[in-house]
Amino acid sequence: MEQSSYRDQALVSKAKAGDYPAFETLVERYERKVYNMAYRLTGNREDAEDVLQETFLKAFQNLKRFREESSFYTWVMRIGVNATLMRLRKGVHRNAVSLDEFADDERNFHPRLVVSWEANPEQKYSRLENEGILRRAIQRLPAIYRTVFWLRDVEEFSNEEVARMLNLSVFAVKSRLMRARLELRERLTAYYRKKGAPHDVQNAAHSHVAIH
Amino acid sequence: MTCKTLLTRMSRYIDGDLEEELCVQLKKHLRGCDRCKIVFDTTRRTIGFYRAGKPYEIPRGVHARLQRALRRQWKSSSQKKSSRA
Repeated sequence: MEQSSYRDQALVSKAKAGDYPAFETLVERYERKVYNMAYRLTGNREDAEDVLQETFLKAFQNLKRFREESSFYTWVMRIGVNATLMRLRKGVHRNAVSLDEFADDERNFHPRLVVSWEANPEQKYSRLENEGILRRAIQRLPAIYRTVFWLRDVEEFSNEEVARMLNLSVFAVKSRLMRARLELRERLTAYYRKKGAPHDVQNAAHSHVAIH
Repeated sequence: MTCKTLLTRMSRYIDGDLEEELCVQLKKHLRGCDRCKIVFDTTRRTIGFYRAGKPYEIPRGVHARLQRALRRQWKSSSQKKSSRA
């Protein structure tokens, strides 16, 4: 990571001086990251393609203004994540879930489905089914929770980096991350629970989660 | 530590972001509470599942379209520069 950001710095300097192939190398290095983030967060391939284009066009236009206080990767992901959120806001009608918040208070959250998982629960399903389970679970989170989870737990940005990327406080990032993790845990438990294990379902509404 | 406070601190514990003394209390609670142990284990596994997910490859056409759009942009910006010079 350190080494790659050092190499990026050299490419950024060249690209700023008008060396187009240097910029193209940076694009090739990070296009997959941006595309995946946009695809996972929007759940839609067309949106991911649009975000990808928009992000690198914007990065190209603004390159001279990039002050290199963060790595190129963080900078370009910040552009990408904001383009993604804009798109999610525009398409909010397509989504039944609220964009930014859960209906209840963070502090009142408690686990609903408490049951152990199988040792290798993913083996119950095909690879495609597992992908679908993960995709649907994350899609049901409000957009900002989905985004925080992706940036922190999958992309492994720090709390501080995510806070800067999303214009949130570090505290807000941490509390959204906590809630996102717990919500995803609930949804995956519905699929990956150990068959016949004793379980503790606090809310009757969740006691018969459909397993497809 | 109660189950409720454990829940609010668990995420920071997973991140290695919890004060030493609280870590000790949390671990002690986990040893004696099956419910919290299950929530903790399955939360960690949830993160692991997402982290282990295979990234999508960019379809070739999409990569090519991006390249074309960027090259167009580059050409028009370098033309502007040379016409100003």
